[in-house]
Amino acid sequence: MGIDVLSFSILNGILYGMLLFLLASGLTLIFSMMGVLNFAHASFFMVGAYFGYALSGRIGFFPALIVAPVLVGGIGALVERYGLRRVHKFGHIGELLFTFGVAFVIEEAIQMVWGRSPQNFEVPAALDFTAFTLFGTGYPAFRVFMLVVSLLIFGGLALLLTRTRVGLVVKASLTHPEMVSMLGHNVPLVFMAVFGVGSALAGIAGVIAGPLLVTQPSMAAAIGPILFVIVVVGGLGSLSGAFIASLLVGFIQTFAVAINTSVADVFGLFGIDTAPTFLGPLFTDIWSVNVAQIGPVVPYLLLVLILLFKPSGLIGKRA
Amino acid sequence: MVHRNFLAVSGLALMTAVPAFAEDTFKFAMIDPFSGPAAMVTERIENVLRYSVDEVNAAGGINGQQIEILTFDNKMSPQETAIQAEKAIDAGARILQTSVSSGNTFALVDFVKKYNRRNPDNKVIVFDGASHDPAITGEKCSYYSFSWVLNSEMKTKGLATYLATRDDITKVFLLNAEGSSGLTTRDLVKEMVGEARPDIEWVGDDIHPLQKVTDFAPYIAKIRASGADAVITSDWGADIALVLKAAGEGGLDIPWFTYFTTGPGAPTAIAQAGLDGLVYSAFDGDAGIVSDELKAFEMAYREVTQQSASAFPGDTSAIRGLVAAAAAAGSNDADALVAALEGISLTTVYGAEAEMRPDDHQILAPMAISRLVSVPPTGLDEEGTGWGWENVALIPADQVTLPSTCAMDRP
Repeated sequence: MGIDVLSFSILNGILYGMLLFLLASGLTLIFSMMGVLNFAHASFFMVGAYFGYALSGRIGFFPALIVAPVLVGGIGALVERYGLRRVHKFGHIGELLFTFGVAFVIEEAIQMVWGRSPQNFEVPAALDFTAFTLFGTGYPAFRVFMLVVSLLIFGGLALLLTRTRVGLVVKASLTHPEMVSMLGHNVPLVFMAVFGVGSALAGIAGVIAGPLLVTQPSMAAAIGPILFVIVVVGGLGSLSGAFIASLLVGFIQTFAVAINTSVADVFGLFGIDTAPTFLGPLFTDIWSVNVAQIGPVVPYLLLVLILLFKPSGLIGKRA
Repeated sequence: MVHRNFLAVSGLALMTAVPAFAEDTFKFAMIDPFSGPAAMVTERIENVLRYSVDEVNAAGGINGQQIEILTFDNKMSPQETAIQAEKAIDAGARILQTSVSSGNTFALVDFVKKYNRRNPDNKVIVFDGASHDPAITGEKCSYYSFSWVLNSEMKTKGLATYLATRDDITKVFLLNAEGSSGLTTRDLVKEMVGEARPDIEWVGDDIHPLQKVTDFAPYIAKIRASGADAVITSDWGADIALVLKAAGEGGLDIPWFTYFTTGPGAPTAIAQAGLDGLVYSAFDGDAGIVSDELKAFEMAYREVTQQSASAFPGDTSAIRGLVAAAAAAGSNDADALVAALEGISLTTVYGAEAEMRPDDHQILAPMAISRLVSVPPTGLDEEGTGWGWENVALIPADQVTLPSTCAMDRP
């Protein structure tokens, strides 16, 4: 692997990882604070992208980057207040099924409003230039912008949760809701706010990813599964875990693509050039599969291994 | 995900549970994914089909009967396709059409083969609107099914013919998705383009997961590192949109030869990526073909739907073929129609002469190589992007025609 390929892969891995972190941060926040695994999270991300698209046409991209997440957060808060709170008393299974249903309702609603075809959500003109060039490949300013926003959110959230009174109340509300309530805090309001902020984070990710990916009704389903991988691998409820896992998944996926080594090549080093036929046709197929082909599946393999050998995740406290 | 689709579809099924079918119409069933990610393709196909049928009905229908379109959701599953085919026949459908996936088309062809054997007095016909798989008119061919688009083998032949004129391209990177369609096309490209241009060097041959990759930037870096001066890809849907956006972002300015960029979403992605004149489409045709007839049709169609009709030529051809066959047969009986459809001539939406080959029921028509460029406001653009197709080569029908491999079981 040459130095140019190596540097591309590191850069791509970081950029993709940060996009994933933007999304996973809201999911893990909701989980760590409320114990709810929110299946509708990727759907809020999609709503963010569509709102961002609709608003940026009227008020411009940067105002939309503020307004759209606020609206998505508002929807999230309403979902918590009038849906999740009622379902809460039936336990986690009820909550899980409820968010599952919400995801579906959101997808259909989006199709009713915007139709099924992709929307023409463009990168704002102010960020539509090449930030820097490395070995002949230009890196778009928009991706660098995304990187900056992700880092700001990571820093901001970490500070909010560990260094402020708000974070203290939020964390205490989860473990000792009655005590917090007796101290005069409105615990249900805290939960509603946490869910709202979590959804708003997904909304921000949506507005940023909308122009980068394709703004279409299947975008939630496309990105949903990998988010759960990140949250589980990082450790359910751990913000730093999600950060590390996002980068890990980003690196795995980008580096895998760059590697052309297959089983055949490995054996080739030992002078064995043809697939042993006595192991059957299945093995002959596996023989020629290279790392690039299986790269995108590796994160899911990682998920399985983590669940088997370290169920609490890389940094998680929760088993 | 399975559960989600299941919920989606049962909701839709409830809504359509009490259909009202007119008694005296000629019923044409569309069995396609009306839910799930592929629904956006189905939506476009349905529009083209309905528009063509409305034209026919306004002119008096076929043998005095109006054509009525019935829609059935196959949820993108072959098993469900067979179940919906049964329902369609119960509702009185005489022609069953499926377009979106070859797996579904195979299921429908097999189902109808059995059905027609068991119900010789009530036969039905299969139309393949856009599945592109050569097997449908090859090993799976049937006397009762007709394919209305050029299959991927023919398209690759046409692409090879065009590339024979492009001496500037010598290093090609192949990028395809896993799955039968991607792998078959990749092998065909290597064989046919390799034969037309033995000097071409394959500097890369990557297979990526189907519709699962969200970040194609690493692939773009790999293509650049390979020193390729062109990419050939059979990617479609979200894959082609994302890979082209990544190419635009990475500033990779080499031509892309594609099969499915006329479809929904791709022109939007190409325009966003700013790949002006770099993305070539090897397809049955597109709105860039210079033809007054096509232009008039497109203008009228866009007036109604705000979309382009040329991306789905199979449906206009199917209806035109059906109308011509019904007139020749003088009857709407299935056997009479099949006999008349064999060898029927028609003019495609692109204004080209086409013929339904009797040997394997594969349409034979010219194809086009075009590239997407920004067009003046008066031109025909795609998806409201201000970008439209510019034709660079028309490949005559005899250059894309391959010998029939069908051993047809005729009654």
